[in-house]
Amino acid sequence: MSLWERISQDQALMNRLHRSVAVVVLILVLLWLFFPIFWALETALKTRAVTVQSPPVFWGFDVQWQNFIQVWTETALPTYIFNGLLIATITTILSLLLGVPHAYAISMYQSKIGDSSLLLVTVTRIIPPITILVPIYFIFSSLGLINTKIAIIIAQTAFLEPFAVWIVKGSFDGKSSSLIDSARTDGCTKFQAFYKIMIPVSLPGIMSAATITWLLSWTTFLSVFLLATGPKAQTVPVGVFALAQDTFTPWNLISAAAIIGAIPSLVLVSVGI
Amino acid sequence: MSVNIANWKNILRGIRTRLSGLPSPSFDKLLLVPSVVYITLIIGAPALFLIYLTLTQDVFSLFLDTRFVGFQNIVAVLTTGDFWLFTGNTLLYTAGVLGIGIPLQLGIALALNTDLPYKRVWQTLLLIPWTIPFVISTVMWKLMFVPEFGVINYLLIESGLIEQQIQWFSGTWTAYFTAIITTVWIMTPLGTTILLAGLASIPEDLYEAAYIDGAGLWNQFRHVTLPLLRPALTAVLVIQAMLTLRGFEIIYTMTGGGPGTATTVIAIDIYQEMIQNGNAHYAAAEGLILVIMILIVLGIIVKGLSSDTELEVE
Repeated sequence: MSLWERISQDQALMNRLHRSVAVVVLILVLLWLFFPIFWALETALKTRAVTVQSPPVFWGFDVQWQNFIQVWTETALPTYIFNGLLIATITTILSLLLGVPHAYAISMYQSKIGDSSLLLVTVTRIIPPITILVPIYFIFSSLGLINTKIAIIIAQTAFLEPFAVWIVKGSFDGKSSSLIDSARTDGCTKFQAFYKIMIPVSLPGIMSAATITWLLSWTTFLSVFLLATGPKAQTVPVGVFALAQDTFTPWNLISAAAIIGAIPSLVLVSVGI
Repeated sequence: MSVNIANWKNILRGIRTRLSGLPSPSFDKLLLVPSVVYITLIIGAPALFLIYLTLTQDVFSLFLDTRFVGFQNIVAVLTTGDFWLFTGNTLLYTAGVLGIGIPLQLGIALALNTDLPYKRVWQTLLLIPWTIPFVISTVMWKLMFVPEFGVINYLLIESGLIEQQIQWFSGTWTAYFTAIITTVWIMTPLGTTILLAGLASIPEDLYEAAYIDGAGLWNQFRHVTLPLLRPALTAVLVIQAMLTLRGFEIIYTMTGGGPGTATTVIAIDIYQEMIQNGNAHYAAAEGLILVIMILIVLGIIVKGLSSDTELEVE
């Protein structure tokens, strides 16, 4: 047997071994990652008495679909969801309107201002939200903006727009600037070259920036927690937090709210990725 | 009325002719301006206000009458015993999450770095927990940690690991454990995905070359995988360190900072000083110190990883 045959035989054995290890690890990891979600779903379907039974009941209990209806009609959950959808959508649109031209300018044109604006974008990502929310909270209080959706949209756009700039910049960076030159030779203005040529060819990157911005806004807790004091402007994470803090809310209803609150993320990821 | 409008038109025309004399800003600057102005206005102006708050103190009522006190607020934070306790808590929480999470994610990524079928499906499944709002994930874990009827105590007793129910939220270490495990669970999907992408970018022939040179699995890992994985590993460490050092919602939902102040991290203390005690100047100073602390820790991580595992060529 030659050396090469032996090596390739060894490698094939290693690969088979690695694959079986990988399958086992994958199953264990997915079990670990999905068990809490599964358990919350189960709890959401139990009666209040069954949720507090010890030892916990895994199967064979009466399924209570009406828990979902109860949490929908008896808590402010629909308002939280509406607020969250509205805030996340407007924040995403604003972030792209501001961020896409910014990313394009940095990526396609070299300038000192462009470079220093990239530094500005990076710095805003490093400052923790809690720090910058201290002054924002007091400024918004004096402007009477506390507990309004506008305040939350303004703050979240400032936090997330720099992130969108980064992602979209990465997408423009991969495109050749010769596309702009050809468009210009064919009679496009600089602006037409931007929105008629460069935006369509970079659309996948822009869409993934939109998905991530939307998700990050939908899941944001701290800025909403600080700037919204009532259901008028609160979103799902803060709403579920409030439900869970209230010791009178039974676990089956908290779990039902948690499951409903997790659904939009699950849908967006399954569609978007 | 019509006179007025004509007047306005004249004024506008005047402005326009003045402006046309100036050099017109280039196209790319025009694209930059809205975004840069927005960030400067919403982040930059509050940042200046934060520094102003740090350097002043109220004389009578909030903001109406302030005086400049220099670094007095910062000194006040640094000489408060509790601040160092909260700093220790923050570092302990971060160290716990990174110390358990990173090796785990690296191990999972190494195990999964082979051609398994349905790659797209399981990679999407793997990512799902990350997209659930952190608070909701934490509430799900809190449900499992409930001492009296929670599923975790049940499983631990059934498997014979413990004799009686653990009161998770009453002890300092067990409270940390709940917050750290939940955070690791939340961070694992993204961390593993980034590390898998990093592993996929390492060319196969490097392993073959190392194998022919007689390198075993450990040496292949030490001299091929680790150095080439450095960018991905740095990214994962920086992301998770940043999220835990500034961390608020996971630990606040899980333990509320308790028992007592045992799991109160700096972000929670800033919130309490600001909202509950209305102490804007103290909170501002503490926020500023947190920024500096994060910069120091990130600096250590980036520097440590860039010098520690140099690609060794013999």
